[in-house]
Amino acid sequence: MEGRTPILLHDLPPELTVRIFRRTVLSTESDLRIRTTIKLSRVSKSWRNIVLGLPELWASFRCSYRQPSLIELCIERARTRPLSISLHISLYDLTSLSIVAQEIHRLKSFNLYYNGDRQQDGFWPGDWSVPAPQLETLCLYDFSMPNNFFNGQMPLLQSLTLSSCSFDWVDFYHLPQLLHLSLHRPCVEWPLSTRAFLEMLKRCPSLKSLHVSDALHGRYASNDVVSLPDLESLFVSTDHCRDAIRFLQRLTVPHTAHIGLLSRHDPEGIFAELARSRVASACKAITAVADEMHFQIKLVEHGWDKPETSTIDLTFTPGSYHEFHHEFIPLPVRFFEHLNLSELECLDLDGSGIHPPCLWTGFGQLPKLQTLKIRNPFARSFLEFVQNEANIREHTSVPPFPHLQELLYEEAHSDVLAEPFNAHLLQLSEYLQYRCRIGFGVISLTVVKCDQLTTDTEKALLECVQDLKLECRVPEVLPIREYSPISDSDFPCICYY
Amino acid sequence: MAAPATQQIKIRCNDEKEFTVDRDVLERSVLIKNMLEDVTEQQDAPIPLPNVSGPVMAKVLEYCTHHRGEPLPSADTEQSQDETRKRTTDISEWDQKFITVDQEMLFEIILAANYLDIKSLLDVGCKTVANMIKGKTPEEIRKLFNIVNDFTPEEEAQIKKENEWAEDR
Repeated sequence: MEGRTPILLHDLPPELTVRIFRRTVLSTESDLRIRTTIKLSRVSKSWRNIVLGLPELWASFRCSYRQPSLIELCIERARTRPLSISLHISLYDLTSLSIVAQEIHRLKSFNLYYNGDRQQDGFWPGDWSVPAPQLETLCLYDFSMPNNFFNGQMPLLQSLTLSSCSFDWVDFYHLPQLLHLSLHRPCVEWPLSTRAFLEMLKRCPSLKSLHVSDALHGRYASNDVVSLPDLESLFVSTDHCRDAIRFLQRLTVPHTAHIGLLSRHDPEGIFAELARSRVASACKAITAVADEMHFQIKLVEHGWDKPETSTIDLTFTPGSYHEFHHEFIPLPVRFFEHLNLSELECLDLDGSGIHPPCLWTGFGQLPKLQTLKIRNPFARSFLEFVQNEANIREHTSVPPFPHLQELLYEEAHSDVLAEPFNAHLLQLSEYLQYRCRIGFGVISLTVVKCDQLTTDTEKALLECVQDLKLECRVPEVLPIREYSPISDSDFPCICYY
Repeated sequence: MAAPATQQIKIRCNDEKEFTVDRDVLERSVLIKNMLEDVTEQQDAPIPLPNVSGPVMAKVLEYCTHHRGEPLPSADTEQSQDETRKRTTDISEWDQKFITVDQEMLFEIILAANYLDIKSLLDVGCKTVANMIKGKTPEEIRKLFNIVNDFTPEEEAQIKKENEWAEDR
């Protein structure tokens, strides 16, 4: 390249500059996109001409308070493009709404956040009763929706989120394309009835994701049942589990649905009711959470009364269970009694509480269990349990988990001392040797926190399994107060944008 | 049985630099792939590439060799991938190291990828420039890319007034 004039960004042909600009803006967080577009337009005349010639860069914007001029500018520069608008407004800043009202026909996405006092009559300036033929996403936060909103005509609406909104369900029209519906904390005055809500669901035949949070209040006069054949993900959060269960009992969901339940003030009820519910036996995966502080149980691919299911996975995760263990010990035991775990192949037990051996009786014999992962606090209670079992049944019977092939043992307390740790593992090796003697040997053993393992213990373990894996990893046990059983990753809520 | 020998193709750059390259590596370029498909008889004469210099072609071939064997985007998938690509500026670790070059070489690679029609390489180049632009003020962008501010003071004042709310706060 010697002897040539160096190539600069300015020398790229316009089509490549356009490509770079699109990439720059569209890969920016949506809230900052318009600011990035404006910055590009201020670099030089040629850049400004290019940016002004790209209406798609102006068609998606977020405005905070008192920026009607920005809204007008973007709408003008977006030309005829469908608009994605996110507005944060207050009671004293309604001009923005009246500008948007004139563009309803080309709204593709509309998010509206309200910060301020209670709304009054005439809050919605402009005519909001015209159809929104291109609207795909609608999110309203802290708003009372006007009557005859969009004339009920949003034929392409795919995602609807209503948070602390009043909403007239009865007048809401058919939503054939709606895939994601999310309802959070409707207003106290919201005249939601189950009948109206079920009617609403009937008008959403394509629904794939339904998230209902504190939106069910026990008025269940209706015996209607709604079928949601395409539902993949359902999450119900409520103070009282009976509301959730009654609601679930009125739904017919496919086997592929993932169901999440959270009940804050009725932790026992949620499991008992769920076990009785026909929904529980129908779906692919269930995450049941007593509340954030107690424990969650996740069942994957487990039709509770469907023994033909081949792949089964159960995760049981307590939170601060130990704080209340006198009160709650019977809870998981009773829950497990409701389950048909005869097909369970993998059991993963994790947590940060202390659990007595009696918990294990809830699991029964688990005749098909092949993989067992026991971590603190289950590790020590497991040893007590199997030791008792071994003493009772010595040489006479099939042990618990007769098909067990892989065992993971982990004592994750940071204060665990080498001496008791080795003593526990020697106890484990004795138990595994006992299993070998009666013909139920375990093939693979993984020991975590092996840095404290003595040579003698390692030798003892090597004598009782074919494959011994030692891991140094010391997984961090989350502080109890920060423990949150439900997160986005735990619960695959589907979002469509 | 011995594996069939990979066909070797010769190319000649605009500085007369020649490369002999495995056909599957060269076929990462849609332009060359189409040229090769159009030629029915085996030719010994190198394929001329008048828009690419030797040093740039060497970089392009480094990229194509690393990514050889990966599926080329089909016409069907291209559009949907394009939408996704627009929304991300993530670059793989190897690509990031590969594209860590001076600005001149970066723009030469982008031009070559565009000419040779190597969509994935063009993407890596454009993403890199986009990442350089993001988060910078107009003045910082000008400085970085050696761009002259050709707005008159009046125009600049007008634009600034127009977009006061876009100022960094």
